[in-house]
Amino acid sequence: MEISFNVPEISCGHCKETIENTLSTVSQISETNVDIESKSVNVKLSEELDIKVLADLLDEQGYTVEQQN
Amino acid sequence: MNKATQLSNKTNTLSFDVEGMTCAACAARIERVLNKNFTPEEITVSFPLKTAKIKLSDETDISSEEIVKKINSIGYQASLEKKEEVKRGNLFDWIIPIISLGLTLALRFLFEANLDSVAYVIGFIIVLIFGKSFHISAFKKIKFLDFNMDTLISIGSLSSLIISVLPNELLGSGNTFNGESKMFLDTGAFIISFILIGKTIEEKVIDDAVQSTSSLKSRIPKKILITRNGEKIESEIENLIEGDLFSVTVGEIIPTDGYIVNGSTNVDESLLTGESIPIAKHAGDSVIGGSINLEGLIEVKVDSDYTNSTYNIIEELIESAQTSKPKIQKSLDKVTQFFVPTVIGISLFTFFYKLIINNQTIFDSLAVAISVLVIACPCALGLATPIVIYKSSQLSKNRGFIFKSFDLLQRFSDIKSLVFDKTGTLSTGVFTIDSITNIDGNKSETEILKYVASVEVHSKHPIARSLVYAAEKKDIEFFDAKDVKEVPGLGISGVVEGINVQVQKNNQSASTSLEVKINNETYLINLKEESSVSIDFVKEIKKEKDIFILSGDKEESVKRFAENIEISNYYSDKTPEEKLDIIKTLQQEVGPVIYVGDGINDSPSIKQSDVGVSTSTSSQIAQVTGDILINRGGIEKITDVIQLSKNSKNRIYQNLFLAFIYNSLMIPIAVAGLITPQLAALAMALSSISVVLNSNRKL
Repeated sequence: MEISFNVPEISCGHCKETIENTLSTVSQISETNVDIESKSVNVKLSEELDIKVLADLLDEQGYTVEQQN
Repeated sequence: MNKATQLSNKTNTLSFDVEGMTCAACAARIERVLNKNFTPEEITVSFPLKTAKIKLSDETDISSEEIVKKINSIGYQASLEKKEEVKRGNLFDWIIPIISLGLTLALRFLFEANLDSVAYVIGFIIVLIFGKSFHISAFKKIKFLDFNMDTLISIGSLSSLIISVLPNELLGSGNTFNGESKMFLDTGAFIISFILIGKTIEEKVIDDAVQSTSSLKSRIPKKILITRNGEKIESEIENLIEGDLFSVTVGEIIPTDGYIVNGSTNVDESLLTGESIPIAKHAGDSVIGGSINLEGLIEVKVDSDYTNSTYNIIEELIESAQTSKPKIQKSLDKVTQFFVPTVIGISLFTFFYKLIINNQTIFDSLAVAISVLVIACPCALGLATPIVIYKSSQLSKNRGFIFKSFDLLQRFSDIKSLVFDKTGTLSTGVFTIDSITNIDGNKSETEILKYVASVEVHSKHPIARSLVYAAEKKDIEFFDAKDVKEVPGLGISGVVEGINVQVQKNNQSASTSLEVKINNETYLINLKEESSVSIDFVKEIKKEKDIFILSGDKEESVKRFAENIEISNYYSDKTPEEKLDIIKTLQQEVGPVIYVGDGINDSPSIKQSDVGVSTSTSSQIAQVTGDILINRGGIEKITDVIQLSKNSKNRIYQNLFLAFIYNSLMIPIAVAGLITPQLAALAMALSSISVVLNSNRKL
């Protein structure tokens, strides 16, 4: 299972690192890919997970999660 | 920052230093997080300045620790603004010297209050602990029978300790110290205190110079995202190479030198130059590392490796100034090299003379011998140079020039021969149109200028700029030019409104003249160059120096120029290599040479000369070589340099004389066994006060 979403604030390697680190604490996530250019995040899930959980986590770090079209 | 708000309890503005931000987005992120958690009234996080300012409403009781914690929790390192800490750091440097001096002054009162043991403990702490480094350095030297200033300080202060503990009863019946040997304790303490103060002033000078760049260093990001050979990678700033591409968003600091390939903006170079007027930059313009991008997104191509970047060069400059030992210090060491053994000799001689010839007790003889050592130590020595160097560097900054080391400034007034590079140094590089001659055309001057300027506007050559300027002054509107081709050193051509325009050097004429072809019509534009110096300025310098002009320009124009400003020694038609040879020849024939140039095109000559002076502005510092850099006010600052060089040197010699004279005069008195603690104190006070007063006179 995969979820993809956009984080408009992503602008550099630092953001990528923070997001990856933050999401790595979530046990359901097996892999996180952050693409700086397209400001998008792709996570591979081992179990079902509500995107809201991720949104709250990232919100805490100052990022907003936007659904991809 | 507004001090009032900081001091007042009602408004609650907190300032933090934030480390770890790598781009403007980080700043935005911190703002978002803080906004969400603390609902502040106002918040500004600055990425280039690495600061966060938060204005909280009066009712909230959020502590700065909470905010620091929050910022740290999202991956940055925040701390309460360091500004005060820096000040505290500076104060801390002063603490030991000031405590030392304060305690020294207190010694006398402690003795008067019969607190002898307290006084002794304090005296020993000052001399042995505060002065530890001098004793260590002196001991290391003395092992090799080598002497320097530290030897004097160490011997003088330690001897006074010894003399102070000599029991009065043992000093013989007719002793000269009137039971006051203990009063010599403060002599040693004074020596150490004064010298500590001198050293602190010295360090302050260096700190001042370094401060501006070190604060810049902490603001330049360490790593950035770049495109190298089409690949996006993250690189350390130090590892950037020519051709790397990076983009800089609004508010970010441009990390290294390069030129804009995409976008345009205004930049603030004040961190480097102190000049805070925004400068417009467009594609093709070069930008320097350390300037702040104020307006738009720009893409920059690196044009030199980090080692050759402006910022790194400034850094290295300051480092070299810091590590070079002033020559005056070396000559001072030579004096002490002779002074110390002499004093020790006199002291030994006194001891044996008193003991054997005068038949006095060992202790009495010893006391007198040691008093010679104490009195000879010029404690104002440590103050003699630092204050003057400090004042000189302050003054030079205010007057618009920087010297790389104090020695170079000193040498400037010693050297008799001064060589000026003509183009761009003595002359302005600004040309005005003297006359326009029609060979076979019939266009008006305005029309000719219109065609010429439309082509020349594409060139950066000084003559081209002067022509464009002349046209602008006449409110002439330019045409678009096509197929503009410039051949450096020869001329420029282009098509304006379908008409071929060609501008080239007129080799037939001795003076500066241009041959202009508009279609098949030929015109001559005769130019004259404006001088940047006045006759008065030249006369002023002639009083001090022999002036030579070294120019790459034609004989005729150099001759005219030299005659105009009344200089008889000139060389014309010289290539940079020939200029270098002439400098070498002059050095052999007339001795050391000062060379004054723009510092960019003539760096070999500047390096070859004994003191090289460059006249370019500080934003060009990366391309500039030179020992003395004039960054404001241009060539006429030379008179200021001469003046400061002479005055500061005289002042130091006066100070050295004042530091030594009183103590030296006291030596015979000490030998005669007539010295008293009061006399010792008087010698010290007189020399120190006169040195300080003399240093503080206007330079």
